[in-house]
Amino acid sequence: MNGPLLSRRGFMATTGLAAGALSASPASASGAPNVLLLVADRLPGDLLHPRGLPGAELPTFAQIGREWVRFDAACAAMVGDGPGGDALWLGRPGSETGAMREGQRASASLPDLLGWVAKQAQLDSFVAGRVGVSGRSNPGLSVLCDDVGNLGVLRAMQGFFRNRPPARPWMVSVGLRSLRGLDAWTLAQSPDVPPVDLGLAPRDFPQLPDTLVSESPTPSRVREHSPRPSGWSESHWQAALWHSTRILEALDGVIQRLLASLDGSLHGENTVVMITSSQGSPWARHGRLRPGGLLEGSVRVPWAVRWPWDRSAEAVALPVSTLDLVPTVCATLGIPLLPDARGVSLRPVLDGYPAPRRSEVVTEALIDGRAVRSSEFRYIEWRDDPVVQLYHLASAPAEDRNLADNAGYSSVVLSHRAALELWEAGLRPTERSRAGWPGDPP
Amino acid sequence: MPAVLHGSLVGFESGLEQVGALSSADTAARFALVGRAGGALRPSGSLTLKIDRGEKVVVIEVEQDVGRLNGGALRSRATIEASSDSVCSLRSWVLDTVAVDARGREQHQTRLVEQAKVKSRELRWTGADVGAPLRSNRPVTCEWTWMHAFGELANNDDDGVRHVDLLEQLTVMRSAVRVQPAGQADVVGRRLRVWRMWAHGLPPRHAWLDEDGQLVALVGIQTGWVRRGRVP
Repeated sequence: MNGPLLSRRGFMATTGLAAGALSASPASASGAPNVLLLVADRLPGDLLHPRGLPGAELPTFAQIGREWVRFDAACAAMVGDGPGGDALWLGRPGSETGAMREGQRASASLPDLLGWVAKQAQLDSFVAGRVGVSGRSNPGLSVLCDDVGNLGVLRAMQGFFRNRPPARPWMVSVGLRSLRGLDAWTLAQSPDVPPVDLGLAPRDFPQLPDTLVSESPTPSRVREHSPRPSGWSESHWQAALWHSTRILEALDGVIQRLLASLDGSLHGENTVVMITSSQGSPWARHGRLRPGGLLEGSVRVPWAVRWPWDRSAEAVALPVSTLDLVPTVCATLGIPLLPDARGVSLRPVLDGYPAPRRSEVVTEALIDGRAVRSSEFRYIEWRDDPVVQLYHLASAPAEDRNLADNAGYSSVVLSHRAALELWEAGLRPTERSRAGWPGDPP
Repeated sequence: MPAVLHGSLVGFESGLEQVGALSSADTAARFALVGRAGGALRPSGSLTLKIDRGEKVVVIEVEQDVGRLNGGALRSRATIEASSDSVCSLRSWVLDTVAVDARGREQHQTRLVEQAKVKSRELRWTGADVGAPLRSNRPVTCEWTWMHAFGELANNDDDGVRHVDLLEQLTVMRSAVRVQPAGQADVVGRRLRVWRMWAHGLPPRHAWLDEDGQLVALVGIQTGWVRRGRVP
């Protein structure tokens, strides 16, 4: 992407040197905004798009998509619930943190966003629900409530908005349950037993994607370590998507009440609200419900920001990563950047300045998988695996036409491979990530 | 050949093995919140319902803690007045919630007390909350009232399909909830009747009732309330 050069103020915000610049923004009496950070476990990347999800009644998500600044090409930094969340809060990919697949813990010596914000003297930091690096508790961080379910978190937040005096700025990181809640239901489904008959008409079920039976080549590590439901009938898949839709609708109602309570409080006009998820949701594409490989369904996440100061709605096509969340939050709060965070601040975009110069973002999976998302393509390769994938996302959004072996796209493959090599050259990988698969200690 | 367990209960088997006894004379019951897929031994919540049934009004006292094992919880205390109609539609309530940490200490910043009355055309909501949801012409209910109302339907052999509004946890309105009988099934050696409720915004829940019309379990996709027995 050949974007225009950053302005001085935009550069300062990007690099976390923006405390002075921030003071120019309208803010609270104390001079800094509050930040409400809503992070769900898994959400489909199309959730905030104007076309929405067929069959779903999601008025709040639709409103967010229309009225906030929306990043349409946001990608998770890691695939996997644990690694994805850890990367988001640490601002670093799994190859640097050591959390590259489920069950692996990130290095305890690495600072994370929640602990970093809690150390800042000029603001208060709170968490509600399941957020933060797996297995880590940050001293100095105030817990509003534990993982008490979305309705419980909502009640606690409503109380917080009511009781909290507006004197000092705050950040609250809220973990919301979403499609991960379907995992137990999925495991309980036997291919030999039809799902519960809910008495629905065929038209009531969401349409199954054309790529439910995937023709795409599957890398061996994905087949081995991230299997798809096998033997399911069409009715199983329909029931799974129907339940998924209801889960998202339930979350929509919770967020509606949460934002209404915020806006009715003394904090409503001075609070930046960000919503995203640590994982995407394949939505049955390529036969997947859980994020597994590195295709768009697993990787792409919704991300939108409500910027309280004279900012009109915008759909930003720039590829961004959940690694960008840490620098963006730091720049928004006007605090120094978390050391060694890998992403870039999107604060200039939110302030209405040109987007940072960036042409692609990288996602990692299962230690050896890498995907490069550029503005037009998704390129995927796995170490020691012959399967290489290249998809042109505009012409084949279902990722059902692999162009990697098409001679006409050899230069595209080479440019994406070069971008990946450049990315990897800048990493400081842990020993565990060099060890390869399997044999890595938990 | 053993009967196949109803799909809504698959994963809750161990929780169902610990169902406590309750008679029709009991006016209070305890429930435990269990997860699907083996969460029965690790309840993540407790609920006590005390019912005082009058001629026109049913008063329900609710004490509920929802949280994770060895962690904090959200503590809810509610007094609900409902009509003694077939769906126990809400008339008024007082709800007090506060988050507590793993040691039971209250997080005072999270306390919220609300009162509300259901009028013919609106919900009159007092307290701090704003943006109170509008009501329709349908009866307004909540899951706590339904834990009693299902028994009313069962005892009256009322097999009609209903549409109500459900104010989930007395906080989030789920409109046009469909409540319908869904047959019977053998569960842990007992013949149970089942009702189903769902809506846009409300993933399906199945209510299982025993021969006495007492609620045995109310299960959703991920978790379920399973009866533990009478209140000591």
